[in-house]
Amino acid sequence: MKAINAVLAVLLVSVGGCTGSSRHPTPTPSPAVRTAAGSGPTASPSIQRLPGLVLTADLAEPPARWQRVAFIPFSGRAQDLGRMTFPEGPNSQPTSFGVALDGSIWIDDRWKSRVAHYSPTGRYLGAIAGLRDRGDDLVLVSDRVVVLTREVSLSGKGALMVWSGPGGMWTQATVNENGRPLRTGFFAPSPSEVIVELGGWDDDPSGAGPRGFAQVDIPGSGQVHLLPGYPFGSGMYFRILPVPGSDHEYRLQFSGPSGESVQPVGIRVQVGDPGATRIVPAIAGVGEETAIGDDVVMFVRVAPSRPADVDRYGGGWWLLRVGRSPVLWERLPGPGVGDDIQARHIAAGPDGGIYLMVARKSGMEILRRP
Amino acid sequence: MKRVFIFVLLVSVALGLIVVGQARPGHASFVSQYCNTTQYTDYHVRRKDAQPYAVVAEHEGYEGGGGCWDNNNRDDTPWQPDSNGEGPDCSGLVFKTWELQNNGGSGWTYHDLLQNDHGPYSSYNYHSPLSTNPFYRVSKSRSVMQYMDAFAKNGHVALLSSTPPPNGNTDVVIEAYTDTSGVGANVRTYRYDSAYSGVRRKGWTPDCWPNCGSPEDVIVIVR
Repeated sequence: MKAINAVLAVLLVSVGGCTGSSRHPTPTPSPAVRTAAGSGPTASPSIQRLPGLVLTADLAEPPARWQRVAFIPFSGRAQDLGRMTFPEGPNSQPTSFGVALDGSIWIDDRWKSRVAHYSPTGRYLGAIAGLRDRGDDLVLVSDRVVVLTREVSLSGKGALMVWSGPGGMWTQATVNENGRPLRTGFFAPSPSEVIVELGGWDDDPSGAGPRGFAQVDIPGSGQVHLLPGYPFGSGMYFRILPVPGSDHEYRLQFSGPSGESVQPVGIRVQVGDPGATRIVPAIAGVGEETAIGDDVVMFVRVAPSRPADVDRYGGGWWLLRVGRSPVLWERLPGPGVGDDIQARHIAAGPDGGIYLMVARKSGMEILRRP
Repeated sequence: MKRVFIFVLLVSVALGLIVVGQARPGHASFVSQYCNTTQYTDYHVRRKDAQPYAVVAEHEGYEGGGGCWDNNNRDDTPWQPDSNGEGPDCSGLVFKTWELQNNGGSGWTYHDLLQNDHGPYSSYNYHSPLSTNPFYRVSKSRSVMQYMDAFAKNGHVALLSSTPPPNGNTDVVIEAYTDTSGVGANVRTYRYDSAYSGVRRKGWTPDCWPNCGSPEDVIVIVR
């Protein structure tokens, strides 16, 4: 918080006139961000260029306090989650989760080849067993649980498994583009339809670039329908595009019925004690887009890029929210253990709640933003 | 006498179990059946030579401390990660792909796929190399790291692939991954995880070799 205040003292620049129509959720800086100098808006009949945002990740800043709603231990018991560690290899724990409209929590319990179901306070309610492979990602869509299994994204060995409940069973869906089988990336959560991120590496990885998001007709034909971006709000689409050659700069792209806007965003890492801070070369990874009303929240990993800085200062997780609400840039509680292959850390809950799943040494912790 | 009989019976049963539990010729390990010691000194090793070597290992098995695999795209010893089975572990894959040497030298040694050689380095060594090691740490910046560099932490190491990642916050890595998938190309966020450092093999020969500087390598800019 001290970092936010420090930034607030020098940063806030007016963005009056940058907002689009009332239907167009346009980023608005919060006290934790600033607009880049000399990047004022320019009028365009089709693309509105918004002021650049500079987000500062202060590695000395303590994480925000989130409310712990559940803790589910690792063990062999039915009500607990599975985990596997090896002498050498990435840690492997539940990789994804979702929060249903009733607040109950579904966790992709990969080492028990199932999806485990818990009450909003973490009481075990049951599990959907019978997955042939281990889950890599999970989304809740209407009354369905959809699981992406076993690195389907690159190896092609996995599958999209759909469970329609209650009383349902797992069925395998084949994702295809006009009949041609397609490999998929991870999910992009949506309450009403299955959205996947499609990479450009399905057949000829060397020739294609990222292709963005697609809606998948499952259960059904499995046909994908490419989308202009990640759908959110009322007919809006969002994409975050990396700036070529940069490790910490992106462009936020909003599009919808009222047009399109693009906003540069730069993430910088600050280290050191108060009064002796400095900015160090950094890398920032932004992903896990999750729609919450007219906003999109994202999970951001930041770390210095130079080895000596990494050793000295480590890295951290941040939450970024853009859209109709003011921009939110908040440090998240980090993991107590390595979570190398965890695909999803944040999820949308009922009433606009934001949830976070954090791997701890003895179990998975579910937190809710107050 | 009855107690003696029971004792003898128990001992006999125990010995029988031990005998039954021993490996029989028909159950020889993958390593003893198929692996070899073939290697030879190599020169002018390029990144574009190393990556296909790693790709061959994809879809093979995983073996803790292992270093021997074939090329049939399946784990020949599934669910036996510590029993002289098929496949490398993460550091063994890097050792053989980088053509490192068991003596710790900086020269190059080509290791046959079926050579059962893990090498002397663990992920801890790759994460925090000594100045005398034939590899060193580099920035994880995209402008610095190149394909066949590695991401290493205390406990895991993975080779950066030249395959474009699906989005900006991921990379495609080739790794001996301890899950059911064995060795594979996976989408990971290691670049942004502060537990991982970047590490590079010393002494790569440029990919343009032996034609570096030849006319076909000169880029002519037409204005």
